[in-house]
Amino acid sequence: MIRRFLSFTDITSRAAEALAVLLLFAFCLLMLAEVFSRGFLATSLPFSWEYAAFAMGGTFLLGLGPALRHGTQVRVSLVLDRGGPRWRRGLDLAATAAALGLGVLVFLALFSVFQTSLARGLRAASYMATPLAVPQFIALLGAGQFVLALAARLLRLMLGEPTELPRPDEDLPHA
Amino acid sequence: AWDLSTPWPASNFQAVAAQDFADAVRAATDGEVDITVHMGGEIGVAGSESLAAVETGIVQAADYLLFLQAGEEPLLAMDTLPYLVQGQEEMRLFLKAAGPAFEEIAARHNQKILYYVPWPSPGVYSRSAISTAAEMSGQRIRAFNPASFAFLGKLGAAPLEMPWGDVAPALAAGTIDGVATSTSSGVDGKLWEFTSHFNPLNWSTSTDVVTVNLDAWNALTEEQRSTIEALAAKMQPEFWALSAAEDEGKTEILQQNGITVSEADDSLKALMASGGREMWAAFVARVPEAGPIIDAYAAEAGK
Amino acid sequence: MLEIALVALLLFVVLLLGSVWVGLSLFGVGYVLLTLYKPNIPLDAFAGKLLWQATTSRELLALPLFILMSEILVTAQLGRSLFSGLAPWVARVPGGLVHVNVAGSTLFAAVSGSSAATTAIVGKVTLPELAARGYDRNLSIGSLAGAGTLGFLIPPSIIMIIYGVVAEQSILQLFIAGILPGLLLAALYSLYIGLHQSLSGARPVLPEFTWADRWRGLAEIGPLGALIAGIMGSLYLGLASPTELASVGVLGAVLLSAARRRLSLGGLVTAGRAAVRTSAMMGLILLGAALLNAALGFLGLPKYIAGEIAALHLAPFALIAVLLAFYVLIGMFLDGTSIIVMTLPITLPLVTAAGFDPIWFGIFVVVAVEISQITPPIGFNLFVIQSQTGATMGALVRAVWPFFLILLGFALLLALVPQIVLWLPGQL
Ligand code: NA
Ligand code: NA
Repeated sequence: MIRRFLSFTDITSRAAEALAVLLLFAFCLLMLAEVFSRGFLATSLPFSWEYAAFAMGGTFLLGLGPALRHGTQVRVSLVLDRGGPRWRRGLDLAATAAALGLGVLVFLALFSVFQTSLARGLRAASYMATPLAVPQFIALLGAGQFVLALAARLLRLMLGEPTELPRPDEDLPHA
Repeated sequence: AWDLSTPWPASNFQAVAAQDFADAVRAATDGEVDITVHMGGEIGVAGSESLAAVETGIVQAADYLLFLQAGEEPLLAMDTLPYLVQGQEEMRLFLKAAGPAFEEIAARHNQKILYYVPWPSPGVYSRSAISTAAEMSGQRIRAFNPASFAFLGKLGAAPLEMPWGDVAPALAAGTIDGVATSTSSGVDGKLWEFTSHFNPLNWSTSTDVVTVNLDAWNALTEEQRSTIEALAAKMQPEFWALSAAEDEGKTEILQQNGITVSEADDSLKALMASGGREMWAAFVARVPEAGPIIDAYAAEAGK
Repeated sequence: MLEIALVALLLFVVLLLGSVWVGLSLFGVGYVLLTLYKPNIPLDAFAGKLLWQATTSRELLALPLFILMSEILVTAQLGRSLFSGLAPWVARVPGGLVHVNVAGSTLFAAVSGSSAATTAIVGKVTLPELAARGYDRNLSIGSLAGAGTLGFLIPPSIIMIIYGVVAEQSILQLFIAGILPGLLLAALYSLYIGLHQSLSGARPVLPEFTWADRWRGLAEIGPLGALIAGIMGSLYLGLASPTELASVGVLGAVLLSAARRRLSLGGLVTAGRAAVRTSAMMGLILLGAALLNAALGFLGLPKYIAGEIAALHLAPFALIAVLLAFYVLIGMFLDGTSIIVMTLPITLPLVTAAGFDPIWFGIFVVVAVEISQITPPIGFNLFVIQSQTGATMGALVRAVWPFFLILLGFALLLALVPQIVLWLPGQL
């Protein structure tokens, strides 16, 4: 059961990361298209800025869990590094539990925004008038995956397993 | 104690008006209704989120552009229609026709309108003179709302979106040819450094509104409520005068800084008139409640 | 007000020292403060709107794209060629290749408006190479953190645009005013790097280079130079706006990789994944900072302190010194935009009344914001380097403090000799 939950969180993490990479390249292309169209065709793409901003929001949030899993999220480890292994594990457990609580609050906050947009059919006050629930749903998926990633980290700590994936060589200063 | 949010920075006349109102209310209620004005988005309430922020009680009062709430209530974008409301005189007539509908919307969102303050009309700042239809054609102009985007498109220009922060460098480098905005914003942004022409096309007049949350309002005593209402009624004309003076003064500043103020010729005017009417019809098709209001107002204003 | 400040500080200490992730700590401090002192507002709806606005703010679009650009350059091993190209040229200068941090940041600052993006892009290239060549780690990291802040001082600059909008000052004048101080600050950094290496006597062994090596080196740097020139060109020739510039940079990096036959789909995906994680790391902090900033704005803490300073009626230079201390203090906890939006309505009138030019004060505030980028606990450049190297916050602080002092001294120098700022705009 626990195994399956952990591997499920890893699958969602990879999926979220893949979607985030897609969104990142997509909004890069979108901005390039705007530059090209405005500069050479004298027509601006009315959706470029709006969709790019929404895609960026998706990138930020979908990347949260994968960044945690790969140890890219930053924390102040001053106190953590000061004690022995038991102290370290205890404090890490407490910190991850607190982070899980805060992650749930982040999720709930985004959920309330998404729900309002959906229930009222809210649209962006822009030329495109995008229904806000759509991009907010993608962001919400990211926040949900982040909660899963935090829960998985807590579980791994309790099981005494390594919490972060090993960093690939290219991320290390001694490449 | 109330929190009042305004998206405008402290130096903007709308923010000045909101602060004046807060001070007057404090004085008139012997400090019992103490309104803290939060300017320039320092508490994170964006211009387009203000209706919702007052409704849910994040702030007790807010000053906001009516049309920015169109994502919640499409009718509120009515005043952005080109050629519908032009100048303060027409805004007075327009509010007579549309006011009840606006008040109803406000009530539906748990708030009450205290007063309106219209903005100076927008025009087009450009690197080269734009007074004919031919000169307008293909100009890459930064629009400031959906209606201005559509309208500039109908005039043959190439409207575009861009964050305000990018506008100055983009104008300087010639990435864009012009920007549509009011005289106030033009002076605030020192647009004479990048553009040499201003055409006050005066195609629309939009208004800010100051509203108060009904729970906060109903918690006041009868006497406090009537004091505040009387203040709002007394100060609204003063704020309108402030806006008018702002427009005049700012046009002068533009000219002193070397901007040539030009006028639309007949070819451009014809284009503006036909483009504007088309947009009225399209708007009514999308928001049917606007139909009777526009008809009543147009009859009154002789449009 | 004192109670609010103490509670905020206590929450900071408990969450951050408790090793809760930085962004979540900021979110937590903001959440608790609002729960305690603004109990009537619907916090879920408020926080949700803020998070949504913060993560979709168009001003940020360039940040993830510049990070993507640097990842593509690294995947295509273009960073290494920058080093092998520069090595023959700076090998004999005291400080050697550490100067690449300053030179790279100065160059890249002319393209990027953000300090975090500058740090990320230069560090991604230089830190692994400096470590591999045995340079002093503290000097490498510290000089990167310090030089990365040039992203704000050398135009284009997001912070100058925000100052210009809030203070109603000309963004063009601010941009021009930043050039000379930016170059001077870069020179000061280089001077310190040279002195540090000379005094410590530690010199990594570099091979003897001939002039043939140097010319070959130039050819290696050429493509990167062309890339930066191309990006700047698309800005100044009127093709892309400052934000859109980042997408042009990504395109340039892809083309450059293709020209060097190092482009592959797998490489792009690897670069994209790394860029997503780094962006999300910053995204979490931005998201937490949004709630914290709104909470402090609601509670009026920064405004209160600025008001207390106003009440002191200080002499001009004393005023500037006290304001610098104030900005260093709030810069520990707040991000640059919030610092400007929350304090300027009070500090700007004070400073202009004391006879300072608003353009000068703009540059002064930019330097103050630069300082905030490298001071713990909330310093974006520190977080960027932490995520790149895995160094602890303590190690970062030890590496960065000389550069903090240089910035501090530089800010005071600007107050003593305002002409450093005002001379160039005055010529135009
Ligand atoms: Na820059
Ligand atoms: Na800091």
